[in-house]
Amino acid sequence: MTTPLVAMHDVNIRFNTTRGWGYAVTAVSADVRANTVTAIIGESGSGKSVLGAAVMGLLPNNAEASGSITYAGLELLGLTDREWDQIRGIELGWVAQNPASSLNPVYRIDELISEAAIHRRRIRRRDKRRFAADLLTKVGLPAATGRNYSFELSGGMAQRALIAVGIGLDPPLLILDEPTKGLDPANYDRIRDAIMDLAGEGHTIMLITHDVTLAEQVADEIWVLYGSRLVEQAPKQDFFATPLHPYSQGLLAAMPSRGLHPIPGESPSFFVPPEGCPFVDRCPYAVAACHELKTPSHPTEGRSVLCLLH
Amino acid sequence: MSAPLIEFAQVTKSFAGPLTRSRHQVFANVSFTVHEGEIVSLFGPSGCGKSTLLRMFYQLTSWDSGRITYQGTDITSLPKSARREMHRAVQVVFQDPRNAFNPRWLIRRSMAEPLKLFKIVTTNHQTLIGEKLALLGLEDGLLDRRPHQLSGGQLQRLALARCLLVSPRCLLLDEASSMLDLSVQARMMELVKSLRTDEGISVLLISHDRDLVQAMSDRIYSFHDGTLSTDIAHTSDSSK
Repeated sequence: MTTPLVAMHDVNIRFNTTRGWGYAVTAVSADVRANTVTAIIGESGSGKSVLGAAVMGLLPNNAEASGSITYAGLELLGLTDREWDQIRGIELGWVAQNPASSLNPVYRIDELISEAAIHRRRIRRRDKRRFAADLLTKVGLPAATGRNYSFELSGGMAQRALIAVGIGLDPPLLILDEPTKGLDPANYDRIRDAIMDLAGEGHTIMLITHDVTLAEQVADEIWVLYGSRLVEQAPKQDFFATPLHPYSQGLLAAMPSRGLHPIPGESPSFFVPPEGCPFVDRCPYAVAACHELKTPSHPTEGRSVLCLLH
Repeated sequence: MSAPLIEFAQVTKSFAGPLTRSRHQVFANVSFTVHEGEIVSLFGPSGCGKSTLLRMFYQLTSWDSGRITYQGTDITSLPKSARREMHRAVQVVFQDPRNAFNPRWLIRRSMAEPLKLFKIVTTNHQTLIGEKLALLGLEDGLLDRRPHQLSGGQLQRLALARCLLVSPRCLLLDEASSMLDLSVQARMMELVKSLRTDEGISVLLISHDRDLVQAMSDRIYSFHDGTLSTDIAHTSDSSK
């Protein structure tokens, strides 16, 4: 069994908003094993990106996090800014969601890619073009792209440039947030291949996506978040062969390739404190005890599901 | 056989280069039809001209050659009243929903705009709007927000709900579910199919999601290197 690189125990994250407390992540306990790709899938607002931001120490000031998230044994929740400077980008790489707003438009791409290395690895400024060219080639872009500005790139090229920024210091753990959002099939394939190449080189990847097809293609492990809770965690083959949680079953059935079957009902409100299974109001198998369900069951080794049926 | 609702015949489009006088041809001799009650898809990569075709239909951009017709009549020769009726009957959801709503208006005002524009007579506008929102799983509370307070997925659903207010005969959906979660997309597409079945509405679906167009369409037209061809011998449940 591979050792966990990231271990989460009873992670809760809520936001203090003008409308009251909003609950983004509730009682999440799970491990990310080293040298694997873990896909975190779910709908908008399910807590995927917030969980990724918590691992990176990028939660906004109005967030309140409790529980424990460790990286190689180091507790991440509660680190100071100075301590984060020693690991962010070096041990943990982040590829943010939207390349159009994540790449500074007044700097050339090679400056963005080499910025961290100039400060952290003390590469010389005159070497930055070569440094950036190597990384751009690695993600399948021409080296000359380094002289472009972000607004001169297509969506797919900008996304790959953003990945090059994220892997600049060669961090063992990479968190990719919706890397294929809005891309056409050709660019989608290129990003998917880049992710698989990075995984092949030994990076541990947390892939946050609502694209179930991408998760099926590249992941080793699937986490399903719904209504702020981790409702199912399973190896990829097991998950796609036999999804256990009723929400997981509904999610797969809603894929165009599996018939486009909608899930009746609405997602739970962000502002209602989650108690029990968050899917209870939409679940055809729900019973009264589902409202009290606190912990997932473990039917088999390496698989857990938050459901009384299992 | 009656004339198709919409027909593009041998349409060619090129753009002038930004710095030179040379022109870049986007596509050449594109032909396709949408008949009453059909779901037809245009499939292709970014930049192939899918959205440009929609803009042409509303004469928001010109074309070099070819003919575009609505119910057999060239759209450039439609009299003003007929063009106005066409704009009511053929509703479009453009790709970026943020550009489809006035950022300074409450959603309530944006939603009521087509009812005023096309002089739709109802006993109560708000009830009609509420009905259409409910079809797409949206709450009335959204009406009192502004576009920047809503997600892209909510705006996409609002844009489709607004189209339905004026009882269209045809919907042009340009990546209209690209920002939706799977289950919400499935719900929207179920509604689209039921509109076709119950009310005979035609749909032109533009998408680069191959699985989606295959699941939805009676016919798929696919762009390859600037030409459009009927793609994939295709039958779906929706066409049965």
